[in-house]
Amino acid sequence: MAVTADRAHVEATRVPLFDDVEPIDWDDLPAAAALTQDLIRRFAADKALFRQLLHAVEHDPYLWAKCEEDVVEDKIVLWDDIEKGLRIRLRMSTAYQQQLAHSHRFSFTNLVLRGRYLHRNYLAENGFDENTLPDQVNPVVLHEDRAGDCFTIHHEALHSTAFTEIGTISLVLRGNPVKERAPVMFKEARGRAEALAARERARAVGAEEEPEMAGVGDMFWRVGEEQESAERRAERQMTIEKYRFWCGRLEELGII
Amino acid sequence: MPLADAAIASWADFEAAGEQTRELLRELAADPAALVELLDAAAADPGLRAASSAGAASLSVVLAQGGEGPRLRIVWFREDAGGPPARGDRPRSVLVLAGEGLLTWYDERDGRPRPLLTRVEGAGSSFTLHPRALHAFAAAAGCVLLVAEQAGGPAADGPPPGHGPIAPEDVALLRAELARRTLI
Repeated sequence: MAVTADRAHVEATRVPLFDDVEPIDWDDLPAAAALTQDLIRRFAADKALFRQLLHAVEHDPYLWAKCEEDVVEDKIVLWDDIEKGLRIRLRMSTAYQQQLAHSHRFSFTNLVLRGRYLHRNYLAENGFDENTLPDQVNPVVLHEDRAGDCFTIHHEALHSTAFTEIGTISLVLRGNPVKERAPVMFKEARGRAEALAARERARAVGAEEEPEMAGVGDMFWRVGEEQESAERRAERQMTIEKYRFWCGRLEELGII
Repeated sequence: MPLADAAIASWADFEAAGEQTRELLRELAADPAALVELLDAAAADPGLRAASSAGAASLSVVLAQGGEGPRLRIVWFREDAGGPPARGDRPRSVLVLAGEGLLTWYDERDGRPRPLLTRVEGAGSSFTLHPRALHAFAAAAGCVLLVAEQAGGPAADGPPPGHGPIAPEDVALLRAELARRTLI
């Protein structure tokens, strides 16, 4: 039987830390949190392993295809074991991030490696979709996330983790996606001109690409890479120069 | 102006009041002399002692209330303590001064609480909870919290069920514990 790309990736590199992990039941959030928070901390503390996986990414077409440069952040995928529901990636901010209320396609655990930001959890009592207005989405928990902080969040939780300091870095351990797309709402405008123009126009909703400019209340959907066109994937693909910049930067910061 | 009397934004502006109260708690945590002064004042003030409460597992001492600032409390968990998910009776900010606890935020699905986010809050952690946030905090024995919350309201009238009023000796015990752990 042919080995799928994701299995070939996992089987090409033995990682004893992950070998012992049974498939993660992300629907049991407390159990998943206990397991994955310990796992992600142990991974982050093992700098030799962290460095090994980071430096292997450019030689692994499966992982490399998942590394992205987005509007306000970059992502490097370090590991992906679909059978166990265990993908590890880095999230690095490259520009000021606006407050975007959103849910996810997957549940995940997050460890802040550098920087700090205000984490908001929202309540949208009448649901959260294209018909939802920004004043119907209100924060009920505000948390100052700092380097070393770790949390586990369900894919249906509404939250925002706007990295307002450029250079904020998180390590994410996520499960498999359980839906094709997840909604995102701008609670804060992106771009002054757009903020002014948005007052005069209807809200923009329904796009499946993150906009470079947006008004308060505009919404878009985050989709998985399998839902994106080849052109879109090519646009988002991280360049080798950027990847090598991050390898150097993470070493400089003592993260690896 | 004493730290505890600093006026804050209305809690109607949850974000602004949250930011101010978290900052106030950080300032208080960084000023052991101010904390000692507040503890001594609480021990001597029957009104503050009446608003404070002692239970089997925890001691909650009201340090300030009635001014323009928020109601300030310090909570010491002498044993592991927790409860089922619940909504608070008022908005509040919390700073973990020592020890740790597990904070979980829930929604309700089919009338039952479902965990949406969970994290261990260690020393230095700071967060603000809206009364609509369904949550649980499971404290480990030894956890000490500073709390700044909306003043007034029914819960200021006395200890919660299962808790009794405190005596000056209770505050002295807490003061000794904080000194032992070099928090004051």
